[in-house]
Amino acid sequence: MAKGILWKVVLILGVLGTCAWLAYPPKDKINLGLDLQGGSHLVLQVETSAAVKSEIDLAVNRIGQMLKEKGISYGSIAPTEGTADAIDLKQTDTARSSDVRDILNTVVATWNVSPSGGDFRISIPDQARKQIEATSVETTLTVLRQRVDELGVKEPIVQKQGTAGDRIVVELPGIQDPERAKNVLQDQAKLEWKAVAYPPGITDFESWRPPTSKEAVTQLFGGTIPPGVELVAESVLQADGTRIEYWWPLQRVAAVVGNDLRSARRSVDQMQRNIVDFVLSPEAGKRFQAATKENIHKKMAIVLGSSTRKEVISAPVINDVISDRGMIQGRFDIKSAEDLALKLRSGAIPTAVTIIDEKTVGASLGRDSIKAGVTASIAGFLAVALFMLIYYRLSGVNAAVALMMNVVLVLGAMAYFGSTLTLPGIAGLILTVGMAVDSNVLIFERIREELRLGKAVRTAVDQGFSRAFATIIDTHVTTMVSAFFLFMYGTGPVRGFAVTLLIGLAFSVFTAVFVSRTIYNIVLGEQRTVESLSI
Amino acid sequence: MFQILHDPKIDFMGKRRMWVGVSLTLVALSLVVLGIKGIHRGIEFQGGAEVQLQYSQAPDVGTVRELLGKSGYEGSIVTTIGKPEEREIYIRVPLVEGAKDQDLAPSVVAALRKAQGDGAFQVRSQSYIGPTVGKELVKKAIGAIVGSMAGMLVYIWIRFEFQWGLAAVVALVHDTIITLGLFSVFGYEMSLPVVAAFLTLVGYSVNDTVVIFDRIRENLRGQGGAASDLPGLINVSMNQTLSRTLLTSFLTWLVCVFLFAFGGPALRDFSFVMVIGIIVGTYSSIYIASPILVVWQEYLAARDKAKPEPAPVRQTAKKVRAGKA
Repeated sequence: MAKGILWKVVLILGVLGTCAWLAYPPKDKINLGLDLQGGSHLVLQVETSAAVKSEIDLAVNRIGQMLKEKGISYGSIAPTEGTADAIDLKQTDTARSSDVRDILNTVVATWNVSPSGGDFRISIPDQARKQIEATSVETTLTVLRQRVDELGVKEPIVQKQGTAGDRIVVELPGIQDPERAKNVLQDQAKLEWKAVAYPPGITDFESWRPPTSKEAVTQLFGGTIPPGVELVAESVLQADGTRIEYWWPLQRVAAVVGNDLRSARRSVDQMQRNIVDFVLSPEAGKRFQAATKENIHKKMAIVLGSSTRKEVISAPVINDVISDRGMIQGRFDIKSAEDLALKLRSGAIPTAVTIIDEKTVGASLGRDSIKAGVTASIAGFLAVALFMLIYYRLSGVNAAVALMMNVVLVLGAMAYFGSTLTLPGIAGLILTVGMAVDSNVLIFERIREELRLGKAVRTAVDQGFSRAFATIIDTHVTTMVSAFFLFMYGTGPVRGFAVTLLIGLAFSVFTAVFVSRTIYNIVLGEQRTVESLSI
Repeated sequence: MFQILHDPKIDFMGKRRMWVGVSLTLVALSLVVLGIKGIHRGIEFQGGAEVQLQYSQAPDVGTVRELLGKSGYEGSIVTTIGKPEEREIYIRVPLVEGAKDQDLAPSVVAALRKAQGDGAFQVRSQSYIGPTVGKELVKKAIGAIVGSMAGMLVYIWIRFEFQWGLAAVVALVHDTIITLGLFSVFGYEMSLPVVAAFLTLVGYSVNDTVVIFDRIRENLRGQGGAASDLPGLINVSMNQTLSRTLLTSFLTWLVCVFLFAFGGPALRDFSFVMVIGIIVGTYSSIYIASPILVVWQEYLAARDKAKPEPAPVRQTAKKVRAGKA
């Protein structure tokens, strides 16, 4: 065997071996789409307008309250009729218009204010509005991720979708009870602020941390948890990547609940430290004032949860009596402060989601689909291979080897990239075989033509390959253009089809041209003068 | 050597007027069918719920339909699906005006379960598509098909010349319309995989055209880049590539037939489009795309009649890459 051929053979066997190793056994190595393994695919629409509305309501409340505090008389303040993002403040005392201005600057500094006499029209600029909407989607994403974790689904997907960015795709493979899943996903997030119920004998309220097991906490209370106290875990990530759960004893009655919270944002204090600023509704502010007064210099736990699970996300110390505005200090970096603010908001902003698209496939149907798809594919492959054998004889063997290799390479690439095989994907795979054989036919027909012209076998093979090559590239590019559009257009199963088609086409240039060519070289290389070619 | 064709010398171009006439008729008929009969839109495109149930005993479609009607799901479609021994039925419920739609699929299941008992059936699959999603999908589907045709046009324009790209795209539009027409005649339903099939078809059926174009260009180059007898040259090129065209189309078609026969109900509509489309696409590569090149040349010749020399189809030498021996 000539040296030139040797490295080609090594390369081919190397690629083949790697792909076979990557893809074997396909059952474990290839991701199956929801249509094959069963599961639920949900598309949720986030009601971003609700977030904008709650921001408007907050501003209305706060402006009204501050006007009253400063003793400025006004006719009315309310969201503008017929719009979702503006407020009308009417008949303010014109003599004190600069005070009104000051208030507006404090509460809604970045918003547009257009005065006319004593009337003001306050509206949210597009930029700020988009910010609010984006935040509400982020918040919802966080909540949904937490919920999906609760469901205990293996390898779920929760991600944003769509150009407007206000849709969330949730994929739950292998789920048995889609109804329960949907209920959990649509459950309202619940945020509660609860004072810590210290066990007897604790004096250092500010630095106390509860034990890491329920039993140990119960021990501290002398064997029984008092009525009116509940235990909620705080899961803390350690430096070594493990998690420790601290079990906080908390007052059952919450001082403040999620709906009371109007906003929470990361900010910096005078010392340039990261803090989280929060605003409560005026009415909740009164309750919070009483609660903070009673528990000053003690800890207040912030509990986030759904109807089935609760978790302490933070337990800051109350340093001051707080009414409706406060801040949480801690050793925050930017990210942890942002995270806490996001968690607070996720319990506060209405995370209403509507299911706009649902597809649930039972595991049994998935198995049947695999069976049908695989049967059709094997039958199709055998038919093509058989035809090539009959029509092109030994050269047909060459083509069949190339085709078989194409399938192995596609599966290997899919395993490597973690692409998902769907039912249309199986169709795409076998369709690729039908298209890949086109390259072989193009080449073989060309070789036959050259042979008919009386050329020697080696020359005919050479020219067959080189002349067909440009055509092969053209046909592949055109098909890949449409596969690309398919990829852009499709979601889920259809995208899976486009992926297999694209990968398969890319490899078919390699198998039909490079591999086939090498096989010819090996076969023809053994003889000194080649009399005939089996084609 | 086993061959289906021995040195064929078929006069394709001689009868081009007849075949163009046939195609125009087919396109017109397809448009009429599409206009009258339209295309069934699957729930992906119109919104609604879809439920597939497997019964423990042979289900009675009539009973199920009656139960659904009583429970207020008017206009539901109930059919059996798959083989009779699988005892499966398929239910489609349109969107109910003003109802809480997102629970449509589960509430249909619940209604049937209440009436027929817990163990009567198991849910094989259920889907729900909201009304807004459907409209978007129609737009996106059309966008993708038009986009991919435009992509073809540009690619062939770059590799050949503008009128070659145009000819190929006209053939594609022809294929799509006729396949859609047959799709409508047979009463299949438009779904996401079907759109995928149409897109694949666009990519596939342009292949035959490109192969023939490549050969025409190669032969043109052999004659110094211009042909005095373009129809004759196209004829030769088509005969040279004919066995390849028929062979590969046949093989891909064969694969699709297997998918149609064995791929299960989920792939049936998809493979139907491919089975029909490949035939139409192969035909149009021969009888539509290339004649347009001739028509173009005749148009140029007529326009340039005042000039002394006839204007042949040009193929600039620098663009020729095929056939480098």
